[in-house]
Amino acid sequence: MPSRALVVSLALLVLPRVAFACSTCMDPREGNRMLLSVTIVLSLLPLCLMAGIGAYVWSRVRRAERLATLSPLPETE
Amino acid sequence: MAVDSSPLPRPRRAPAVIESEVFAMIVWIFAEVMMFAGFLSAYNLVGARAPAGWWPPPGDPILPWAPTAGASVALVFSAALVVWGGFRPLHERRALGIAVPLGAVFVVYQIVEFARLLSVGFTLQSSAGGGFFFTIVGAHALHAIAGLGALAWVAARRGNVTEGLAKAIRLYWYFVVLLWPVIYAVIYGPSISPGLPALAI
Repeated sequence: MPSRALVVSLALLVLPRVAFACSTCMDPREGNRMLLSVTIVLSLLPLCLMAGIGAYVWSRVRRAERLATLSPLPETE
Repeated sequence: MAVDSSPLPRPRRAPAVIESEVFAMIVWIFAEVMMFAGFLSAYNLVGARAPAGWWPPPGDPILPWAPTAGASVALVFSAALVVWGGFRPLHERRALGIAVPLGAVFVVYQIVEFARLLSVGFTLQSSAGGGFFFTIVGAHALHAIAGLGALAWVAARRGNVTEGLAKAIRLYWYFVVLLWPVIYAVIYGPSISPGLPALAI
């Protein structure tokens, strides 16, 4: 939608410049760069792990469904 | 009036999508990964924030990276054998019979290395480097000991262990082995330098 794109573009243009002055994120010193890297890794790692577990469970469910379609179980034993 | 006392037919249950033991182990490994990620992040952060020339702390011995790499090969081979045995149930017991001693070589080497480092005054309290080394490498060694014990138990009780439990224990061993190269790169990496002797202790 062109009007929404326009609003987003304008919002980006007027972003407060103070955001770029973050003393940790934009500091070139080794310690602060490492802090930023560690923050990113520790933030993304659990999300990636959860996504991996979700993908594994989903693949197992799909596999079980496929097997059930191929050889349905009798209603009772 | 005659009463039919035969049990009612039970509805057939579909097999579990994931064995409970495997799912529990996955959740456990999730927590373990986050714990070691925290340890290694703290190590990296302290190292990066140390003044130039102060990390590793002066006075810390150069870690014996070459013999540790040799012991790591034994650990990797043990995991390879566990993988191989997992795909060949008929040979699994024999594979575990070789994998467990190979893993034990790694653990015994770690104990000897700890003893040698302690003997030169590198301890948990000697410096921040020592604290991190014994916490991270020691925690991994404890995990390796637990994994070896579990693998040996599976090998000894083959046939009396459910497939789910055996699979969960294999999964745990893969985690222990795959974690080690990461720890090795972070902890022993700074000691690997062409100008430094490989066996400094």
